[in-house]
Amino acid sequence: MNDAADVASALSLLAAALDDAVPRLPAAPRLYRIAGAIVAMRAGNRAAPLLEAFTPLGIVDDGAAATLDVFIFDAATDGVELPDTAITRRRFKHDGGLGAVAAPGIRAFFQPQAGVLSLLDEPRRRAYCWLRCAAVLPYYEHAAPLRHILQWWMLSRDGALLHSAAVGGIGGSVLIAGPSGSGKSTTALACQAAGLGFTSDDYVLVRSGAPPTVHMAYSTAKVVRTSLGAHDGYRNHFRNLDRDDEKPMLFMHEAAPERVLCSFPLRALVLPVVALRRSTRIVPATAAELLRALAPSSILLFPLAGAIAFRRMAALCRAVPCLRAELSEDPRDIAGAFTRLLRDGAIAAAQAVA
Amino acid sequence: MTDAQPERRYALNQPPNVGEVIDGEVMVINLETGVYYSITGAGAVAWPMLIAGATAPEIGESLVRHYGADAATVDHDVDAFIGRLAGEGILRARQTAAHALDPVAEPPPTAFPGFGFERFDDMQALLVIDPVHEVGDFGWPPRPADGGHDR
Repeated sequence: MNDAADVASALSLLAAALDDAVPRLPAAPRLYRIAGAIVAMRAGNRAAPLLEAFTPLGIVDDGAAATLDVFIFDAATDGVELPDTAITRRRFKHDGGLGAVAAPGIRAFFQPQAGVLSLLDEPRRRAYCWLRCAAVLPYYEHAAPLRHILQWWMLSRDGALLHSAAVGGIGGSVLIAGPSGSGKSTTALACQAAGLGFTSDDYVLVRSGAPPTVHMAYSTAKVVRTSLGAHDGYRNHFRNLDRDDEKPMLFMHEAAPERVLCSFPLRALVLPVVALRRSTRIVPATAAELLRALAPSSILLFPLAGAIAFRRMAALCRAVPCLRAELSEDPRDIAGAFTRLLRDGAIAAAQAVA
Repeated sequence: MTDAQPERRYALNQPPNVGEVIDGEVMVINLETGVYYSITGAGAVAWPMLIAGATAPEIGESLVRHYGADAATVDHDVDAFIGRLAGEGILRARQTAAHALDPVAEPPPTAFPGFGFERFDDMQALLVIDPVHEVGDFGWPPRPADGGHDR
């Protein structure tokens, strides 16, 4: 059993050590508008590439105050070692399956394998990301950086970071929700290649409202190595091509900047199903089906967000039309079905399909 | 399975579980194990009463009234249902009822549907690995005919 005082003490020790190291980072932050709020991020040269995924969200400094200050350290080059605590030794009982601890106002999660500590000090509107070695981070940390901090921060902003793809057009966007391997990335990339806007292939921010709003979190798209041939036009933009153990990924703001959609109203939730049909068919689904597709991986990937995030996801599934896309094998056909779905009145028509 | 005790009252064992009622279905996720559950039919109707602290006889009586079903069948199924939930660690004991909710408010079904209960453990791997999402060739999960599986 965790002793609350011990947890709070360890968290304070970590926060204080990282706070003391802030002067080692560049004084001028990079500013981003994330889910409608200004976030200031500071990172040294070695850790700065972690911010590439946020590039389309970058804004110029007009003097407005940031809602959150994020400090990103590379242990070696910024000379920042973590104090020895029960958190970094992972001695505390895990709160949530992946292992994370919290005290009032402060949450932290240490990933020993990747060598990443995420810490959000909410009352002070400060977050810290400590990297043991930025040069050898796994590709998924570059694909979805600061995701734990963003998830915790969104809890106080009437939103959540969801494990979902998102594509859209002028009239709004749809979330493509499903477990890994259900066809999210493939569908998102197929839609993007056919001219729809791209917001996400894996993680997306959603804020409550009428309608709810979808916000880009990362400009990242990933593919499996064997499907590279289908994306030959972007060959020069893929990273990790020399790493057999990592997925090739690209940043959409580099590969197809005209397709980047940063923020759009949500029109529907879609559950993709690999049906191997001749042509893709979109039919009604229940809100419960979509919640089952969306919630488990979204929640289990993010410790310390469970109950609130789950409630928000359920509200989202109740608030917008829920559909199931029975996919064909042809990416152009899939893209065509989603393009038609986003036309005026098509979602209501799809809901009426018997 | 854990035997239900007639006068015992329960609440959702949270943490580690979280639960939501949606669309006539209850979804419960255990945040420690990664296992999640779907509860349907009479189980979803009985759920609000159950976690508010109604006893098994109180739930059975309410369901019998609601469905016009055979009391012995309903009581047996309620006991089995509570036992299953308790065995999965979804429930914890409580001393008093928060408030008793009567499922009669729901639209009356044509017949007693029984208790639907499904357990899913396909997400447990997320808790032991960093989030690397893998799919098969060409972006799709392998087809069963290829000797693959869904993940």
